[in-house]
Amino acid sequence: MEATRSKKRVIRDEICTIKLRAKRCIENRRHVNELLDIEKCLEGEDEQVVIAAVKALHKIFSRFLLAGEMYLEQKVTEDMKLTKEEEYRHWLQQQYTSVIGKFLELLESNNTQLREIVLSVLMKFVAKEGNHPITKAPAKQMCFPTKLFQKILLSLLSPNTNFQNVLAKFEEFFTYDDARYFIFRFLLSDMRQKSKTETGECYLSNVLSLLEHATFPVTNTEVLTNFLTRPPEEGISIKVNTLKEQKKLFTTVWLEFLRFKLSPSLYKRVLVILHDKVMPYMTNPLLLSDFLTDSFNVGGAISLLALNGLFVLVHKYNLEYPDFFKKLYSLLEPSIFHVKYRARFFFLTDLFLTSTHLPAYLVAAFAKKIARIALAAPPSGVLVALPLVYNLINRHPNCKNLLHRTDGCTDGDEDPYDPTEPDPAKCRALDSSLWEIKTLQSHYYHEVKKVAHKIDNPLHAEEIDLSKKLDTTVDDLFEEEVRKKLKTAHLTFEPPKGLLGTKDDKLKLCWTLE
Amino acid sequence: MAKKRKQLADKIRVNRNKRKEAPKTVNPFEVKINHQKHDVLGRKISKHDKGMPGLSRSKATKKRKETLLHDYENQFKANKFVDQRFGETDPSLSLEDKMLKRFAIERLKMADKHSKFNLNEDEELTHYGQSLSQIEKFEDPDDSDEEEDDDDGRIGAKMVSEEHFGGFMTKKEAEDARDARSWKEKMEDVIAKSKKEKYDRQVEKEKAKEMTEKLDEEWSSLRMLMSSLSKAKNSKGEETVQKKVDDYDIAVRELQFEMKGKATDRMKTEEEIAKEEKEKLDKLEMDRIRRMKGITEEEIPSEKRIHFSADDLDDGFVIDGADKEKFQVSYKDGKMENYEDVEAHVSADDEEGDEKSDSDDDNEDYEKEDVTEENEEEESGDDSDNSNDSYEDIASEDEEAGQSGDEEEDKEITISIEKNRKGKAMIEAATKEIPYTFSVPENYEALLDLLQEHSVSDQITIMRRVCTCHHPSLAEGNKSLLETFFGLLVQYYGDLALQKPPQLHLMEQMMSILYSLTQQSPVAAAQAVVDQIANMQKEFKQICDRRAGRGIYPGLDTLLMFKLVSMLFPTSDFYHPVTTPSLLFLCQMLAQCSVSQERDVAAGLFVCSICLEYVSLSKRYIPEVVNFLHGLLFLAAEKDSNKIEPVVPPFKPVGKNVNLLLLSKAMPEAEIKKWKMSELLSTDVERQAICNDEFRLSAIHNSLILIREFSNLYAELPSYKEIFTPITNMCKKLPVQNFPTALQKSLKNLMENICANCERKRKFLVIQNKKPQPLKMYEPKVEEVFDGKKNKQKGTKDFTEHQRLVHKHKRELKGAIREIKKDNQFLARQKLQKQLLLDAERKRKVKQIYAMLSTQEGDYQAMKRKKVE
Repeated sequence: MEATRSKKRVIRDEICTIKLRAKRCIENRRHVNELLDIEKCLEGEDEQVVIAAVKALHKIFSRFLLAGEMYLEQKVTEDMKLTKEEEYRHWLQQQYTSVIGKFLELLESNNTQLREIVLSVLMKFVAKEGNHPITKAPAKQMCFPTKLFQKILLSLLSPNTNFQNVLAKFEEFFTYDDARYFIFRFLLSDMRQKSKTETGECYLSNVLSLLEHATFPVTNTEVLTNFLTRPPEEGISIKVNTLKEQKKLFTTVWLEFLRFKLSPSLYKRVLVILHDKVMPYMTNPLLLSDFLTDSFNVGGAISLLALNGLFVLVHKYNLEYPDFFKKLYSLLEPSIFHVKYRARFFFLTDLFLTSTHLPAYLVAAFAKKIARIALAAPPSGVLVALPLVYNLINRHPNCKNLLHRTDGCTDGDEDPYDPTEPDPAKCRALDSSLWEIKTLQSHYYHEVKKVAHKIDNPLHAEEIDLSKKLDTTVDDLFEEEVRKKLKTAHLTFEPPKGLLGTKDDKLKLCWTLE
Repeated sequence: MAKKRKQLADKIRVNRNKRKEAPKTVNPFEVKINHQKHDVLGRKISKHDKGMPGLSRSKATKKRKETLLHDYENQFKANKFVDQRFGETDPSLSLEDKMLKRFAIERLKMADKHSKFNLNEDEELTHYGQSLSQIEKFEDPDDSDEEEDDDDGRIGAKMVSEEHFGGFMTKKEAEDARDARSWKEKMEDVIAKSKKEKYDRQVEKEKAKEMTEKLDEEWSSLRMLMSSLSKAKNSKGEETVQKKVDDYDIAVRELQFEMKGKATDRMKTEEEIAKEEKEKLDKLEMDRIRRMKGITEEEIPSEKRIHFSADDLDDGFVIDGADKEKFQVSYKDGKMENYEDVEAHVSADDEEGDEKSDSDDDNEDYEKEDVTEENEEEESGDDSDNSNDSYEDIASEDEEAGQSGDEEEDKEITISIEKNRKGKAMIEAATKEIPYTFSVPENYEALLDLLQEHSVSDQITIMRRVCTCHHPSLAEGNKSLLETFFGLLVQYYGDLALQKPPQLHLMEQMMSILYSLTQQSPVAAAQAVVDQIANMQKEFKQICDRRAGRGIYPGLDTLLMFKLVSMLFPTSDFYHPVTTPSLLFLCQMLAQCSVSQERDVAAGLFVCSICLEYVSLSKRYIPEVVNFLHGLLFLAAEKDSNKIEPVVPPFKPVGKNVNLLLLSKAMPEAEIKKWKMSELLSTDVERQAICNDEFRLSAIHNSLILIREFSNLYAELPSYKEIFTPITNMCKKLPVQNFPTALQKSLKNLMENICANCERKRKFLVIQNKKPQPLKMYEPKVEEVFDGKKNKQKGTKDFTEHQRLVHKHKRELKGAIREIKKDNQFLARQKLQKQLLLDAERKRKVKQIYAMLSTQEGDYQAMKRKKVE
């Protein structure tokens, strides 16, 4: 007790001295040597002290940067003769670089708070240095502190530590056009370098978390002006401030990234964001088509996710994909109701089949297949599948045959539909009937029953809105049932005679009460 | 006499004529006709097409005169004088008639004979208006205390002097100022005072009487003592005499106190009772089937209209085919056969064809007996003071247990009952220590305190006694107490399953108690069970969330809770607030719990069995069960390493648990036993103990049994083939050669059965032909029964009811305001009239006085003139 209290007091004292020293440093050049003392504190054990030191150093150097205390006309070489003033400035610059080096080390610490503070301090240095360069810069051009920035970025993309949380903070820097440009540029060069050697999962995950947060300005103006540092003067067009160039860079970065071998979880993460965060900003999204078709052929959840991107390509960018529906058809397996991306899949399937120009045989095949797999689905799945089938039949009057066969033959001895046939054109779904829905009329869950009973009457012409049902799980259904207010409760009229007492108790078939 | 009669007849005739003479003559000028601009066909003709404003106004005035004016005039009057003399208010009677009538009534009162044999018809002697014959019975000898009569109904002298005639002599000024009570209130006070005095006197008298009686008794005992001394001296001869007298006395007393036969309801014969029970059960069964189909009570189609022939006079005289069938007079051995007999014959014929229903009837017969017994038991349980209570409970329980068995076991059971009867004395002795009344435990800890230290049978007795002590009919609030008790018992039921070893037998016996509690308050019980299940599901969901969507089969408590649900609530209903969520939860378990070890297999099969029980009547399709059984067969089958079998989650086509149920060696001789719940289902089963070939074999056996059952249930489904083909495919891959022959045989039977069911033909779906919808025309829509207005509002029942009430309220309010206005007008008119009358009177009087004075003056002047002349 006493020990912790005294420890706390020590820490408080230390923080106070750090603040005092920083103040003195700023006030008078004479005390500038105290910088070194503060720097030493960065290696201290206690996090609060470290944070205080980081803040103090930030204060000192940002003041120096603003005041131009570190400014040198030319690069210092060893044999140069320096004035006292120049020497002082040189010394300051050296301190500055060493502090930045230590900061970068701190980035890898375990404390997320410290990490975030260090990162924001570094980025503030970047901004300040950009506006008040420490070496002579060409007047009219911008002077982004590329070296500093590259160092920061590279340490963030370390192959050892997962920086997912810290990189999420990077999202705000993507709003600055110059920062975005340089991120892409350094990322690209780094990836090119890394691609020659073996890369770890961690590195790729870091890259992806950075790319996930990439944003582009909403306005579609060609010349970009939102800069972190001093913007280049007007009328000058360089790569940094043109949207087209940036998009081009973005595209190459992505293509470079997709060349890596991705683990399944990363693969899924990529596919989830591809259609909505990547494709719109690419110069030519069709470049992704190889990647997407490959993923579509992988099977399982990955194919499901690739669907979305493929659809965007087909829909908006005129991709020819002849076997698209065949592939989609092959994805319809009973296990589809149990996968994580069920809602997405059914939403997309409904979307793909909205077109009324699809051939009847295809739609019939889909309807029949969906009905067939619904036979083994949980109630939440059936509640999605059946309305989907109804929608399909509604859109394609030719498929009404599935529910209402009038062409003479009434005895369907054998189901003509062949579920094992992979080609929807050959599965003869149009000759069949939807007995599956008839079967589901005796489903145990009453809502399913109600929906299945719709086929007894001619279907309503309007579309059924699927979106509400897509996300419901069995848990939701259960909750809904339990939440209903009880008004009446019917009871059994046969008094029980023990647990297995009834004459035709089904539990007695396999179990004894012991 | 004759003359009198004639007079009477004449009078009547005259009266009648009088009535006839006043016919309704309507003055055409009084009628106001409300003309309608257009006649609309079909619109109800308004009631107010013509009115008689004068007439209705005069009616209203008359009514007001009788009511409102009357009230107004009596406004500040506390007393009123009611003249109850006969005919006083009837203006049609003449004075003579009145007197005659009054006399007649008086005579009639007197003629009311008190005794049939009182020949002295005219006179009855009275004293102060009371008949002497009644007084003279001298039934109450204590009445001899004389003083109480003297001031009966009179008021104290002080009161009289103070209050009578306004107390004009003694009234004190100061008191008057203070006492601002009205006369009425004062009188009420006086009455109350005198009543109280009278009551006090009565109480005093009663006390005195009691004291006297007590004194008398003491005195008689004292006298006995004194006389016994003298008796001892007497010889025994007297005693014998007394004895003889006693015999006679006894006989007399016996005859006197013998219960006289009273007419009661006829005792029902046994058949009748049985028939009633059967009818009740039939009705309940019908009800159940209706609910299974999901038809609500309102939707029950009413009986079909019976066809009426054109000649039908609609006079209720029916010669109907249907009735004819029901009732035909027939003769047998010269006697008319009983109607019920005929019916019995008919129904017997019906049943002959259908063996199943016959056996069901047998069942029901059994149940009938049980039910009647239970009823008796309940009745006896009602009077909680009955000390035999527990004894009966135990006895009937034994009998219940006996009757639950099959018919073949009857003999054994009777023996066991005998045994139990012998043991009853012992049990009784054991239960003697348990108190007979209990308070209902308020929380779970209290329940545990109550039950924990007792044996199984004692716990049951305690529960029963709590129920009987707090039967809802005994006191208000008992019902809610029992409802909480039920909730606690359900919780206790679950916890019993978690004990080691599970207290299954106690749970079994609790069932009947839980059942009777549910019957008493169904909704509360259902809510309690639903809450319990919701909690369990919540836990399950949390586990699932933690394990990425894959659950673990819950413990025996949860599993057996579903069994409880199926016992208490009908599982076949289309929708039921308890069983529907239960079934959803069961199926969720089957679909989401991973099958990675033996216990999962056992628990899954248990869940399947319960599902089977839930749907065995309604034959509903449960995909999860089929998937699960298919998956189990997959686990037991020999796999081809190159081919991936299509299995539905939670089963995985590849993985380390793929061969969980594959037999490791051939077991041709193995005997398959039924599983024991407590061994396999508790959550901490040791895996090593059941990880053997016996278990696998019985798992396969059980899944095949369940598949057989489900296949029978689903044989009617149109997609039967699609559902069961994967299962037959998997069956073919089972390592049959390793199975015992019995299992091989049953597997073969099952396959054949499924194949036979697959052969069923099915028809293509055709939507039923509906009457084609006619094109919309601009012709008027003809409604067959038109009630005068379009029924525009289509809301819920509550909404329409609310609207109706709002409308009615508005209408009533308007009417009331109108009436009040008219009342005020009427009163104002009355006041004015009164004022006018008073003024006129005054004017008249003034005039009169003036006239008098002027004549006087005239006379005076005339006199003066004469004098002058």
